[in-house]
Amino acid sequence: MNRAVRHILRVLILPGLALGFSAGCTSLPASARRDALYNQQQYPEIRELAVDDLAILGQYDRAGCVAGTVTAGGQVFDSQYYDMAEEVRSLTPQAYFDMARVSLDMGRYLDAIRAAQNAIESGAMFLGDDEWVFQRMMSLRENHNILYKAYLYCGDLDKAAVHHRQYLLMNELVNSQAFKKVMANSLRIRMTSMRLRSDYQARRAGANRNQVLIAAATVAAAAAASQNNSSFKPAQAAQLAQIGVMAVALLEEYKQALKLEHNLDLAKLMREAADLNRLPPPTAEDLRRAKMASDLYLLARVSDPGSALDQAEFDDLKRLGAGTSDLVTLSIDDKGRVHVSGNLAKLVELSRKIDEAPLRLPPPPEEGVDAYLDTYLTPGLYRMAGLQMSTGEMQFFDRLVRRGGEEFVIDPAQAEGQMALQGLHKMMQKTTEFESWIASL
Amino acid sequence: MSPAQRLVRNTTGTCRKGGAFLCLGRGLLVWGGVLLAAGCASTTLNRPRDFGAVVGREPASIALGEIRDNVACDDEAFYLQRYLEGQRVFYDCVLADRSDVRAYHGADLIVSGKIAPAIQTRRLGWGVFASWITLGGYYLLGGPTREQEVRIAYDFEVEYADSGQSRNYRFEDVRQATFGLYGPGINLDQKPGVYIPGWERLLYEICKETKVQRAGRAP
Repeated sequence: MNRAVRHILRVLILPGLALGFSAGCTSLPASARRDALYNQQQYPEIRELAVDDLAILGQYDRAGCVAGTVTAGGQVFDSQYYDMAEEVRSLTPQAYFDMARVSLDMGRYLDAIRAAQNAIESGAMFLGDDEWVFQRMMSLRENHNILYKAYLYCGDLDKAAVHHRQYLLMNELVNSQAFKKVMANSLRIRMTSMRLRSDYQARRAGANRNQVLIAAATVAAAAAASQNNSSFKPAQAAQLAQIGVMAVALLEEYKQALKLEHNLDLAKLMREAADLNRLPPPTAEDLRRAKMASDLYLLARVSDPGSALDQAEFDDLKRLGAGTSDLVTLSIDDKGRVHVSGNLAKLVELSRKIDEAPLRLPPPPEEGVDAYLDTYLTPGLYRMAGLQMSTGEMQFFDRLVRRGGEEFVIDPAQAEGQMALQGLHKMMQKTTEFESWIASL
Repeated sequence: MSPAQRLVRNTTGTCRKGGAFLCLGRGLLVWGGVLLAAGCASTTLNRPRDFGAVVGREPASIALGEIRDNVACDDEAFYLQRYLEGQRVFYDCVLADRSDVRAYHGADLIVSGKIAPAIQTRRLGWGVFASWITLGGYYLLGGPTREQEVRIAYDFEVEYADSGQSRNYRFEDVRQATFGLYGPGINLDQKPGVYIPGWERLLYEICKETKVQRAGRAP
């Protein structure tokens, strides 16, 4: 072999092969990027990406079933392949779920509720068949958990308790021995089906090449080729059918185990969990559990009793909460700017104290927990806790206060002005909730 | 022509906004100077200048209830929320709980509605004829052989907390594009871009109505 051939091998072929292999290895699901961004707490970017993933008009047929290939998140999915069918079916529920969890973390509870509701609805639509029951179960569990937390911080304890009960139910199913066994087998199926994907990608590349050649040859052939998608061989169809049969067999095994161990009917359970409008009302026990599972209760249990609010501090807070309704007044001038006059410094200080109060509750007693729950963990407390100021908002108002003066002007047309208006709205709402909560203690 | 009439109108063209560069490239390659001179008719809709009126006169927040089109798998309210946040007309835009759209938010406006898109593609007889006569040369050079029409009917219900009244807004957006081998220059059938003119019109109507309602109680 002469030097020229070796040179070509080193410069062109080997890097090409490396590039090809690396491209094959970086085939990640559409939601993987959002997961990475979630760890970096880049929430606005996740919302952008997730909304883009929803834009799939024309790729699904009108009944909501997946047909043919779907492009989303920069990838092409062919629903005829088991692993891709799983991904493509999860696209919409996963996009909604990502928006829900991001909204929850951002304190946008209503957005979280809406997104989780949509995730459950689209899960019923795309993951309704027997083959996808495990994915749907996991999706229901996570979304009911989000609904529980979001309703809790909206102050609707009844709805929070209903969703918490569903979450516990799904949790029980998912953590059962039978489920774990089935999931281990499922993983084996998934790994087997990965070969199909690489096969599919190679075939698709070949098909594309053929299409280009045909297009160059004749106009008619080009038109035909542009409409023709990848072929689906009978052997692959048989393999896919085999995988489907295995998945359903696993499900049957799981159903049997559930019936024997827990006396549960899985189909009925799933139907009930997905029907958000017909969930049974909560019992007193559900409400109690929902409160006791909340972050605020857990924090009160584990935090240092020395740092909890004592009676003197409660009295102090009561005094502060007595006359807070007229701390600031808003007026608008002809140019549309908002003038904030009054004691903004005191409002900001009070807001900081209100934010601290739910995190410094007295520790719950060993006995008589119900009385503690009724006294402290009221809907008003959760609403107050849900209206916590973000670090950015606090820094903004601290800066405004440090500037001094009796009146502040906010221009709503600017992004900072919008944040100021949102922050003011939040502080005023919070003060109202605080007044009623502290008065009832 | 009033701003409202200007917002939604029949449009015919082969490129628009982001697609303009792609279209221009194709035009240069295929048609040379011909498309450069005649093809790129911009269809960007005019925005009324008083969009900031709601925030300008008095801050307002908006809640989005159920907004559906004929594809059940996604919720149009998410696209509308992103659009409204970008416009900075309202200081807050939330998605309402579907089981109770009035709960928890206390927004000044609640919007719900329905969108009905209809997409029709038909072959242009003279384009096909020209393709046969030129043995495919006309088609390969990108001559138009098909026409696509998108007709979107919007039906929005808006509740104004200021007056306690509800208003219904119905309007239609019709747009057409002709294309051949290379497909339409406009993404006529892709969400959420295809709905933006309708949302612009809705926003315009809301701003106009809120301005009228709040005019009597200026600070």
